Amino acid sequence: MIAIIDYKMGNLASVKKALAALAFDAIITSDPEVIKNADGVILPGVGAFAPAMANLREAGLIDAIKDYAASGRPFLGICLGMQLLFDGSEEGMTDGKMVEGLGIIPGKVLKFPSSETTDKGLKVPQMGWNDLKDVNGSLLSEGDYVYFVHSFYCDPDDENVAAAKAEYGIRYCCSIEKDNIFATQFHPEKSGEVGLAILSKFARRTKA
Amino acid sequence: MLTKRIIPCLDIKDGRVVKGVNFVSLRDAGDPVECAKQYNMAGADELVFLDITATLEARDTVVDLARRVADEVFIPFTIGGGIRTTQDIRDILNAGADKVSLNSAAVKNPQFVKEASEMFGAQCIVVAIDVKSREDRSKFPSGYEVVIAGGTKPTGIDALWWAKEVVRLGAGEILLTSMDKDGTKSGFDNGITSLIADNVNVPVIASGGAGSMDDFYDGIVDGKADAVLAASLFHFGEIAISDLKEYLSERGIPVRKISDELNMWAHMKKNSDGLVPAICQDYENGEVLMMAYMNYEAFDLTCRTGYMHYFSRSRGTLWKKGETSGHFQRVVESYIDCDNDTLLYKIDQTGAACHTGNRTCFYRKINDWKENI
Repeated sequence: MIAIIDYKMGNLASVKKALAALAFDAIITSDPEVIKNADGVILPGVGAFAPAMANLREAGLIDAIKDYAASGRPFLGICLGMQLLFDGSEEGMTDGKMVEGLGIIPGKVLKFPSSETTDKGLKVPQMGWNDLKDVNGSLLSEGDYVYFVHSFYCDPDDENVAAAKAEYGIRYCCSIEKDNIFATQFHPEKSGEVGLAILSKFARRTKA
Repeated sequence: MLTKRIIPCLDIKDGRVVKGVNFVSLRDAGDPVECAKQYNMAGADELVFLDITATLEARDTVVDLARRVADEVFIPFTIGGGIRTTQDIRDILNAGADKVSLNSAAVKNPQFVKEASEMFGAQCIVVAIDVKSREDRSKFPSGYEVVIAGGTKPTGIDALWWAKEVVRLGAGEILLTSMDKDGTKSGFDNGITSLIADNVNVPVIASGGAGSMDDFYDGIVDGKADAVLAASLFHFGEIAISDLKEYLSERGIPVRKISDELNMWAHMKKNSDGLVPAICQDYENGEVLMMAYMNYEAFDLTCRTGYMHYFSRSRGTLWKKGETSGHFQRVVESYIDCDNDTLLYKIDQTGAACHTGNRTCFYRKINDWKENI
């Protein structure tokens, strides 16, 4: 059973529906016990970084997620769920201090630099379909188009965890893969057949 | 590179597509889910459903529509029309829609945009702005007035001012429709579109007036639109989305390309599980070896790798034939039947095709089998 973590950040139904279309069962849950015993865990999420961390903390999910991630079983973070894996984010930053994340993947979440985006006519958030470059991950294919909606991007300390990059003013890491940890800044559940194939590859690992 | 989006818009009344969608392969041209699936396969980047049912009771049908579309279509979609409360928005988003489009409710109560944006996030709040050109620049500095109720009610509000205002209030996207151009097939109103696109930092969807592929190009280049929307032009097959994308791409506009594999898959008829049967035949002697099903991923992998891949829906597994047994199937030639619903592969079979160890799965005559049932 795949557990989709519910922490009151956005629509989780789409991920569950995409898995259902691929004939994989999933449960939407905020119960740490269910997460602990799951064969696979997906951390989705749309919204702001700080309230997301606050909600995870309040629901008592932080340790459950960290423990699960360390268990070696497949984990997938989507969009905000990718960003939360990092040490901290510039989003909601006060006095130059980053908002603390889960710290599972060393690195930071940064705002798209205005000098390379808004100053040059690129709108932030990036909204729409962009192609995958420099693919170095087992779930993705070079050149595939996937759907993005985001204003912040992940900057891992270790270049080698980057599973793919995308270009929006800058070339940035839009997916990571490190052992059992997968994450995508884009939404596979909204990326048509290409996205379904990514979810299917991930979900099959939960049965291995 | 971020691509420009092509968005078909479906008008919905009482849960049905108004006027229908004229696709040859459609079983029910009035079923929004069927239409959405076809557009997804045709390469639409996003979908907009505009509910034109005027009554309040229609809310339930809209939520149901969002749920049914989200069950089967996995590209972003927006629902608009008659949304008045944050509860309406919550219901529609929870049902699986990605965005809602607010129109007259925003004009009547601009704070509604702010409230909705703060509650659900700017990325899911689209404000639809319908405009008409006006001579009186003292009243309308941009030369355009915001109108509501399908263009019948003037509001006295300047279009550019309103666009900036809704973005300030938290709109994540603007769907701009020229009521002068709508239905004329003479091109988008690129003047007001570019004026607004230059002055707001959210994507602008151009709508109203597209009649030719050139019009879409102009809407993106002259109108500076991030996305272009049309309805009947796509529904009646006057312009195929794949042709439009090819056209735009040749002229240097970045668009999302559909792979050959996906395009082929889009044009096959699937069974009720969304699968297509594939028959395997020995490439040398023509012996029929087996039959199994493919989903898109299995078909795609078979095309790309040259080895047979299948999908079992009941077990939820995709597998490469021979992965455990070593009995690989190398594709020599592939065929599709006359009505596009069955694939035939002529293959080079290593060892046995059947899991029983027989060369073919069809090793029993039905009369022998019958005795042992």
